[in-house]
Amino acid sequence: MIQIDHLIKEFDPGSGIRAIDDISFNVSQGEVFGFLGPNGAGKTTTIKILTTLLQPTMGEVTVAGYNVTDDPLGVRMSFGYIGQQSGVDPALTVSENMMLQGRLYHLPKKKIEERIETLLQLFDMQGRGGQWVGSLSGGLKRRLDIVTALIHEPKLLILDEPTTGLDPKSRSDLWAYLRRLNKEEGMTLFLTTHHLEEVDQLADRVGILDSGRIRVIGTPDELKDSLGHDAIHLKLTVAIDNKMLSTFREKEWFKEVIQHGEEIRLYLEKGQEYLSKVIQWLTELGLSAKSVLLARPTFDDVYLKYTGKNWLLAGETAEDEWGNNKWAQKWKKKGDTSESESGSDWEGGGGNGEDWKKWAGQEDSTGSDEQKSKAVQTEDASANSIQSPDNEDQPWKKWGDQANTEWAASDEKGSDQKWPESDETSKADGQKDKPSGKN
Amino acid sequence: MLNFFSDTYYLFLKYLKLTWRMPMWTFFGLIQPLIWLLIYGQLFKGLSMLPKFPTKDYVQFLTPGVIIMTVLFGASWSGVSLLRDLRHGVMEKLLVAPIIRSSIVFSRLLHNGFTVVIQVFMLVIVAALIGAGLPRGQGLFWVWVIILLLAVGFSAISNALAMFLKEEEPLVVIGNMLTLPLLFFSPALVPADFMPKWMQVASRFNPVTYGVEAVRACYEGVFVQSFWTSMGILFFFAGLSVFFAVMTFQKAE
Ligand SMILES: Nc1ncnc2c1ncn2[C@@H]1O[C@H](COP(=O)(O)OP(=O)(O)OP(=O)(O)O)[C@@H](O)[C@H]1O
Ligand SMILES: [Mg+2]
Repeated sequence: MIQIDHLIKEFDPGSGIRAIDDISFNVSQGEVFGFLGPNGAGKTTTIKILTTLLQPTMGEVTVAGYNVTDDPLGVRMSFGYIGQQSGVDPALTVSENMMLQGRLYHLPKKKIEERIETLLQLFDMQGRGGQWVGSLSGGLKRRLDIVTALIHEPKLLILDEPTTGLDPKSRSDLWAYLRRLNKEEGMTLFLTTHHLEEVDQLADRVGILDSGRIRVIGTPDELKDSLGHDAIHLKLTVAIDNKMLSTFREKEWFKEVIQHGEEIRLYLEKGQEYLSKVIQWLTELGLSAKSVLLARPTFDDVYLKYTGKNWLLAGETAEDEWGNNKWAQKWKKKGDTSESESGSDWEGGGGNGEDWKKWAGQEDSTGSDEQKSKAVQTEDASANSIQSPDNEDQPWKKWGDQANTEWAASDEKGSDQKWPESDETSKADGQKDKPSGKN
Repeated sequence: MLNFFSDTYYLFLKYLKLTWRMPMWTFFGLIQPLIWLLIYGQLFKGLSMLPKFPTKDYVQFLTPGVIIMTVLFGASWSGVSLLRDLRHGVMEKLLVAPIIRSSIVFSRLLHNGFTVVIQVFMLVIVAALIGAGLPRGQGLFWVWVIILLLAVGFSAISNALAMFLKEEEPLVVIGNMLTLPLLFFSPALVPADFMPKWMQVASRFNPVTYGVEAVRACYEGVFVQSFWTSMGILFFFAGLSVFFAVMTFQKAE
């Protein structure tokens, strides 16, 4: 349905500043493809090229068999588009908007009226034809956007952040409608989002875009598996530094080690087995943990792995850029709550391994990973939070000083080592490559 | 080609619907010209006592100028309403539809021309009531052509600027910065003879000048060579502006 081959977009040709930096991938008929990335990643730019609103600087882009440069009109006939902003006219009624849209796709009046009826029914909007768009709720308005985009029965729907700004209920409703469109009508969906949950819920395949490059493409499960089966979220009593990180990274147990704020996340297979070993190892290193949490990797983690570079290296700017972003705020909040929860749990006394095992057994078969890890944090938090012995009199620093020279050397390597890997996967994308973690 | 007409028609209809639902805007556009006509007309009454002043009554002289002023103010709003479409994503939706893009421009210009004609119609009636008279003979026809041409020309410029600037504030600032000088560098408010020589020369490069002179000719009922020249220039100006606007939309990103 969509073929993108070495697409490059420079807004200022010749400047070398690439909003899209050589991306390639295909989306096949009937597939739901989710494009995930932070602000300014180039999601909208890609969509604008797909929808013929922008011209590619280089590369070939084909939509439904039509080349976007050579046959923009053919392309425009073949997709329905839901932009980042609404696009329906607030001063018209629901059916007036749909009628106009039908007219612009040169359908006869009768046909449009039929379509309006079918579509309003399909999206549970019967009887709203005469309603002012300005008086619709955010969720309904978004639904109207979709309905309007479907007027000419396209086989491909392109959506730019369809659920941004919606409340959770409207969001999951919208997901249900989109899923139904895909399952029942065989609609191909190409959507971009900031919401990790969204791709997890909807997408057959996910591409993670960052700074105009595709970091990885795969099914949600493939991506999560690339991190190993389990994740240990570790908060230490001392500040995290690069030396410490590379120590962790060099440990053969972990498939991936990522710093997230004050937290170190260790990804591994068989987390339960290793949990006690890890804690013991920490003691050996002279480290003590404020909190330890065992969870299943979620899309948060996948995302952190593939775009984390931004987050870590460009710390300040990333914060600024994302400061007034809902998604970032949501994430921040998440972090906060888990902190306070695990914090209070500590008071209640450290859990023990048996409880943890029990929990793991119980939860194994239920719910999505997202739910699972939530369950970890809320219902049964005391069971899986394990307090390590208090080792405050052996500060990390002392230990670090001893090996100072050694660490300094491996320092840069450590952080460099990780990212070229994901560059490779981005080069080899297009085919369904399973990202290789650190193994 | 058929698509071009139907696209233009349905879009025009839509804009018309919007205007119909918010008629206040059309009236607001009339307030400033009416102030000029009613208040300045009184204020500068004495002007017509001066020797060499072309009409006996200043209101008679001022009316064609205020008509053109209405056209300018009305046209400069056109770009602002385009920004409304841009902001709501309505424009994006139009640009991804398989329509002939110039129909977006033409429907907007037609709509703007239509609104301005209605405004001027009301203004002409008010002016007649306070003694400015009515256009004479074939002037009753030509006056609308002139208004349409100028409205289309200036709203084309306003739309192109809007598409280029993408922001409301600079557009409004530029709009204001342009409309008043355009009026002052024309015989809209004072006869050309009263202007310094250099301004007279400058006014010859101003389409507003030809609009004002042509409307004045309509009121006088005198259709000589200079009238037809003005009409030719207005046609040329409208055509050029529309071409320019269509080009900006074709390239629109
Ligand atoms: N018209 C433009 N001219 C110049 N640069 C632009 C233009 N539009 C976007 N960019 C730049 O291209 C990059 C990608 O922007 P894009 O809008 O595609 O990001 P995005 O992934 O959609 O982000 P968001 O999540 O904020 O919607 C950004 O660095 C942006 O500043
Ligand atoms: Mg975007």
